[in-house]
Amino acid sequence: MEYLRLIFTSDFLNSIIRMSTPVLFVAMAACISRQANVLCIAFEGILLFSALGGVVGSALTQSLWAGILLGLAMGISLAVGFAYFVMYMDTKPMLIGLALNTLGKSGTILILLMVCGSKGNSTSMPSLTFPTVEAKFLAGIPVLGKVLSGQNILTWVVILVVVLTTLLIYKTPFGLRVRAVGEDPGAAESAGINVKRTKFIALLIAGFLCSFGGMFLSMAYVPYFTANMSAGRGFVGIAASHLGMGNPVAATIWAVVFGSADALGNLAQSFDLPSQFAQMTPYIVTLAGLCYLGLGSNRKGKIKKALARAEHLAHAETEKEKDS
Amino acid sequence: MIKKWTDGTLSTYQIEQRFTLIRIFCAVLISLAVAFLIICVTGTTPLEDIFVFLTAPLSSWSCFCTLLVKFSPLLCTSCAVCLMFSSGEINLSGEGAFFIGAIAATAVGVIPGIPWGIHFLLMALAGAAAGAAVCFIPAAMHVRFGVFTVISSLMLNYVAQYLGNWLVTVPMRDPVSGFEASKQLEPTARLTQLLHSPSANPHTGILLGLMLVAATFFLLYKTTFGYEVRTVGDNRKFAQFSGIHVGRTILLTGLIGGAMCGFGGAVEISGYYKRLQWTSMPGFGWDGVMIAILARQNPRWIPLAALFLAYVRTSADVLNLTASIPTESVNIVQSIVILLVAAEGFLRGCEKHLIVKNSQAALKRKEG
Repeated sequence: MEYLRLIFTSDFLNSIIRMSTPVLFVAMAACISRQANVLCIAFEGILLFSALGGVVGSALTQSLWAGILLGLAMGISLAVGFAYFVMYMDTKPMLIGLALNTLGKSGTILILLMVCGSKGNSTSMPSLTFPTVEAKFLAGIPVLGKVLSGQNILTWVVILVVVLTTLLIYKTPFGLRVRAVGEDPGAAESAGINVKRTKFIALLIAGFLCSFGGMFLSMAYVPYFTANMSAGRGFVGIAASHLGMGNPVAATIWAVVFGSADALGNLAQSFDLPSQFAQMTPYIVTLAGLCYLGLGSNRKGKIKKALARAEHLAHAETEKEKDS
Repeated sequence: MIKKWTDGTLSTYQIEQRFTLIRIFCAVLISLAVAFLIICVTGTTPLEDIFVFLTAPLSSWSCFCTLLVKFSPLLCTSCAVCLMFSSGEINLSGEGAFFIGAIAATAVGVIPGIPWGIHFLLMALAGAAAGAAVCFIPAAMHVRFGVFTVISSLMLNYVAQYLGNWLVTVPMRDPVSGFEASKQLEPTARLTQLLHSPSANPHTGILLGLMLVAATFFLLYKTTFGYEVRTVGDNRKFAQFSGIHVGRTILLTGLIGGAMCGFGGAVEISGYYKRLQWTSMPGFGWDGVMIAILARQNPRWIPLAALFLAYVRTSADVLNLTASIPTESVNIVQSIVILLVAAEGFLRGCEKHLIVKNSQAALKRKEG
């Protein structure tokens, strides 16, 4: 009962929203790349690069906009690298993603060391953060007011991003082209769509969205950059988009589930559970979620097989009747 | 040399083979150039540092021994990755398997009263079993639930890392030692040291690793199972239609690959360490990925590729001490090697040009 009371507090709901935000950005990016049928696992590296870019840019110029610009530039440059190697160098997306993630991990540490002389974090740099929004008109509502007030501006942006991504994918000519390219590149090409360019642009948009997730980590969630701070969130976002079958709304639900697991893990550290098990929670939940999706598709497969068999039997019986 | 390539005496296949080599060579050269660039940017005395970078492992006996010690675990993990990648599965849980394997081996290694020889065998068995269990999970998830192996294996690595961390710091922790480490290994659990130096003692693990490379080559290229694995990797549908159990092959490669990684962990612990004190994963699994890609998933080239990486790592360690250039630079070099070796379109324009010219020359010769 003690634990339950800890869980159902507005603080906990608040932290769920906070934990879900970066995952949501990645999930939206992953949805777009999934619709274009490119498995981009480089989001982890993009998160790190943009997180560092935002911190360095804002610390050097003391302007939030410059921070955002540098963060976006660094994140998108990695996405461009990914897209270029996949489209024009015939590289396997998995391997290129792997290389870029390694580059993101070690490259950020090297840049961090060069800029502020530490391999661990950027606390010595006076970097800026995104402002929080005090939603005054919501403050009157009993629970919701407490949950929603004081959230970072990027949390509100991500809600907008979910809506916009859904519209982009399902309601615009470009979204139609992306889906066509993802479904059947040959057919799309014969209809006059430039397959490579469409995929390239889709990946650029994905990199753009993912960069905001990275900047949320280092400029809102905590006000500094730490080495390897993405901690697998890029992969969790990809898992969410897979579970949502590339549909932004469904992916949002899964991203929030994973965000809750993250928040629950944080909360569990205050129980007498070993901290390692608490830290493991989000990853285990993700693995379980991925298995659950497979279970669903397997069941569909079984139903299909059963239907096919029933049809076959019925067919055989009519044949028999004909014979007799 | 270019002339000889275009006078029509070579077959197209030969030119392609040569270009594969050139591509790898270029990738290594470009990555070294990047390494020099990093040294120039971060170091204070670039020219000296580059000289140290190129010659450090051969400059002293103890550095050479360090090179050998770094070399041996790489062999095991890269063989495992080679095998798993050959089946078309990008299974990256080798890192976790190595870590968990090392922990399982340590758990056996601290038991007193087992005679020498048998003790190591038991450790290797425990390590291999634990490693196999780890790599089996993503493979099974793929076969049973159709989960992408890349994502599930990466998630699993995090789970393995925290599980291992807990095992080392709580149940297996030596209450006597002042820091977070397991109990000391029994003397019977240690492998024989081949050479001696002040910094590191190369152990029989190198020989075991080389034997594993030979065994992997035999398995992949000289047995029916290996042929099945490669067929599954090249074309899964074709494999299925020719009656190969695709699922079973993937599961088996996962099991064997994991066992190799776990074995590597056991060898590393019993050869080099007195006690287990890793609080995070040592990174040999990742190195294995890079080596396997550099060796084009052919175990024959693994020793050479592993030697390259061990050489660079040893140099980086020396530079880290003398010139405060971070060891992470090696990972940047690594990622660039993966990037360029995996890029099949890299230098393709040049290759096609040569092939066309060559076949034109061959045609002319036939006619003339």
